[in-house]
Amino acid sequence: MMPRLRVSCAAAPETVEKVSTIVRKQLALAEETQVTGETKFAELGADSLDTVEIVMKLEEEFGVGVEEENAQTITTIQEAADLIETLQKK
Amino acid sequence: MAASTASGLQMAAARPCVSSPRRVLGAGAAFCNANSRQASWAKLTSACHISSLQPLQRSFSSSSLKSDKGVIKAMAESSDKPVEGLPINLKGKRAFIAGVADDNGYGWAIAKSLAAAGAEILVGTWVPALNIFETSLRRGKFDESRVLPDGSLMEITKVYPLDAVFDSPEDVPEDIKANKRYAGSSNWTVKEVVETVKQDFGSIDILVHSLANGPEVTKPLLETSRYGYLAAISASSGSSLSLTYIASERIIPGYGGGMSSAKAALESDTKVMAFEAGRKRRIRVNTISAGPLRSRAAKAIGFIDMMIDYSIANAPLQKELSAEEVGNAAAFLASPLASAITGAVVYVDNGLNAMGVGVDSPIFENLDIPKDEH
Repeated sequence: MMPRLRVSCAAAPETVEKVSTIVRKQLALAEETQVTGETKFAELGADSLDTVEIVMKLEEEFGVGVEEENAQTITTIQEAADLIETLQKK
Repeated sequence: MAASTASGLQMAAARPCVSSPRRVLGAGAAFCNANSRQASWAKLTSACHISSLQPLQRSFSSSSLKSDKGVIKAMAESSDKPVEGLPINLKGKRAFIAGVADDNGYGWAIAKSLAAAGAEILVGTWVPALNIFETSLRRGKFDESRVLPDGSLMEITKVYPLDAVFDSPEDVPEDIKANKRYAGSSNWTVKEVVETVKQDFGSIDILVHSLANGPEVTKPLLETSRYGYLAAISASSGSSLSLTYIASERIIPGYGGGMSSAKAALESDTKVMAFEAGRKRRIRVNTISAGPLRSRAAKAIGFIDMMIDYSIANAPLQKELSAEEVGNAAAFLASPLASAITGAVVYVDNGLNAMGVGVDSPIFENLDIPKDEH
């Protein structure tokens, strides 16, 4: 996957991978479903409850706390990974 | 977890959303009205923490109603002292609040007020939101909003999964049964919850319906069927309370899709139930018609900010309504202080229901309309 660097602090591929795994598990996605950094949660069929659950799971797995204002801005796997890395650096 | 500042706690701790499947995590102003919250809590503080008093209906006569000074006087320090004023004492009472799924709706505020008055709290949470609610609770995300006036944290004795749309398992369609959010829970229809509560605790004293579930707010949906309501009431022995909205009797554009009809039915049911349950078991049945609050459910409807602005511009009391004000009214209605109140629609809305016109209309420009001088 080519990082497109639309954000200055693009998350490490490992983080993106970990986020993808969590999202796959949370949404119980079929194996053939493609998930990349650019994949939008909505495209995967996530409703607002799913999104909340995903964010909670991410918080647990990465040991970070995501404020609701931030949670609202996340629409893709990449954005989630970026936010997590930013929070981890704090 | 990031530390929440005082001003951000409502928002930070309030992630779960449950109102409608269509609801998105839309941006919305944090509801944080520190002043009025404190004020309403202070009032409550002055009227609870009392353990030594007998139930009120025995101890006061009509003449004691004249001395209302004691009500204002704070007496929170010692619960051992004989108490002055009128306490809201729900010690030893068990309350079931249906419709709590996060910490910023009326359901939560009512639970807190009842807990502050000493009641034991059970809650019924919409099945799809159960996991989020319980996880948040367990992880301490609600801790800051669990703080009661005496500094302790509200304890929720048990959280029951509940979907009040269905009376019994036979009513549940296959697709819901198979849904991943429902598959992990059991006994969540109204009848089953009533049975489970009976098994767990025997009976409840206070029943609060704080649920509204209009899927997409587009089709009519009575929040609890008459049967379910009766079943629930048959398990309770003290008072029952629900939440309604003025859209039941006046036109509120945008409060759509049958929710107005549902509320109208609810208000009618309140009266009929008050008769039936009152005659049979002396159970009181009331409903609170609350003004606009920036709750999760309200944000789903989408125009809550406008409704709040409208209320501030037009209501007799020009302030934003806090959830605690509704919670405190609920605690009063559930308490022996309200022992003669039943079949009532109690407006907790800064008085907006009393208005016949919107005074902010430019047509009234030259009328001398009193304004908030605070």
